[in-house]
Amino acid sequence: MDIREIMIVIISAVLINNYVLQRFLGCCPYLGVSKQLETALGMGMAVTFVMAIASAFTWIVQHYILLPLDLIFLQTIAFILVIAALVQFVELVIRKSSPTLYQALGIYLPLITTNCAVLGVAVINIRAGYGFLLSLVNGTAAAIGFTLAIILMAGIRERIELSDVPPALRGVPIALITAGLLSLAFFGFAGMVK
Amino acid sequence: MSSNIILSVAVLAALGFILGAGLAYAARAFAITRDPRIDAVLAELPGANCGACGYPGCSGYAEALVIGSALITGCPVSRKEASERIADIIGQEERMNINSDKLISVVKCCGNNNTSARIFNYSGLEDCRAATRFYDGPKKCRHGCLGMGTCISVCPFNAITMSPLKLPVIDRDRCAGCGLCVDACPRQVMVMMPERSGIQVLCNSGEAAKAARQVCSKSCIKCHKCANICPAEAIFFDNGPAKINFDLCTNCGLCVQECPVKCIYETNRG
Repeated sequence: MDIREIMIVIISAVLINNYVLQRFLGCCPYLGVSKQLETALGMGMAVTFVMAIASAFTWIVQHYILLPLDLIFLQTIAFILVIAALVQFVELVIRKSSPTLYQALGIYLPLITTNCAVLGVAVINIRAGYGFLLSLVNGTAAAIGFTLAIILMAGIRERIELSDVPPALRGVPIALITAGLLSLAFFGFAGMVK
Repeated sequence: MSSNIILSVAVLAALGFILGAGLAYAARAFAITRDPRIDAVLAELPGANCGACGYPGCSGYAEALVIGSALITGCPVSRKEASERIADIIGQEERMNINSDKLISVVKCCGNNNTSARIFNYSGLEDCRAATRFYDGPKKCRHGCLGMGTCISVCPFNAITMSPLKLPVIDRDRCAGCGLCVDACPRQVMVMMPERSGIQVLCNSGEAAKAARQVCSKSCIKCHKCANICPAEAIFFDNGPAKINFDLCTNCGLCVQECPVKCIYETNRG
């Protein structure tokens, strides 16, 4: 396996084609859980786990069940089934291992299930024709990109909380503007790899 | 065609079954047990989540109670009956300290904009804690209320409003006695008083008469006229302004009329 190819996939998923800031996938937990740094980190880790394992499982389902049996039309529903089960499993583990994180993530944890970023990375893996290892790498890198974006957002939002924001913009409006500016900043990475 | 349908149904069913079985096993493996007493205690608590007990919300306090690391007297908002029921639930015999007096908070200051002198004009953050950091606040009286509403912002029951003369007004019906305003006030002007107290001396300054009159025309001047006229001998001075002993006070109101600067008030409920 070409190390260069792996590096390109990683840098592309984390910086150049960041899943939140450039592909605008996964905006719901991004805006919902980015109010505090600790919860943002927890969310990032949960999403990383789900995306990595989902990439692996969905690749296996695609190549060992759907393709051999000629059931490509079941791709969407089969993938969603796998992802939903994974998220439920992650929720059980978090509830047991860290009740505070479970409380902090609240409604946004089950929302990773319908998170378009997870299904997105699974489908993108198939469309790009990646092998098993590269799918796993892409899934993990995409989640690392998500984590990077959400941590940056949380850091900024914690400071905005203490600033004098005009009353009309307080809360969600300033968060969306901040996300826009962050996306603008990440556009600087475009064209980095030809 | 039909074989395709059967195959897809079979594949999805198999996938669903395997994942479902895996989840069922995981639910058993990662199960958490929750003491049912926690929910029973939680039902008895006021549910205001004010944090006066020092725990994160009523659920945090309920958990601490069941574990045994909290006292049943920890919640100032709970009424006596609720505290006794909680003691029943957690199996505690000791009842002695449960207080039946409901407390409410009182602002011990009647010096409004017209009566109290100012040393400077303050135009900063509208918060008493911020104003106090700046040369101890714009009010000439070092002990008086600054009227910028820190107490209003910390009250979880919305029991405090600001009067037009910049003094907080406490709604006795809404006040739950949690004491958060007393902790937040940077001038220690707010105190907890029993609900049955109908008369209050609204002055926090213990200065001598001449100095007191220079800063506020409604300051207590310790003339002792109230103490002299009180038939129950309920008023005393211990190096400060007049104070009322509520165990002796009969709410007769004579001190209210007698006070020359009118700093003794009848509080709303007669």
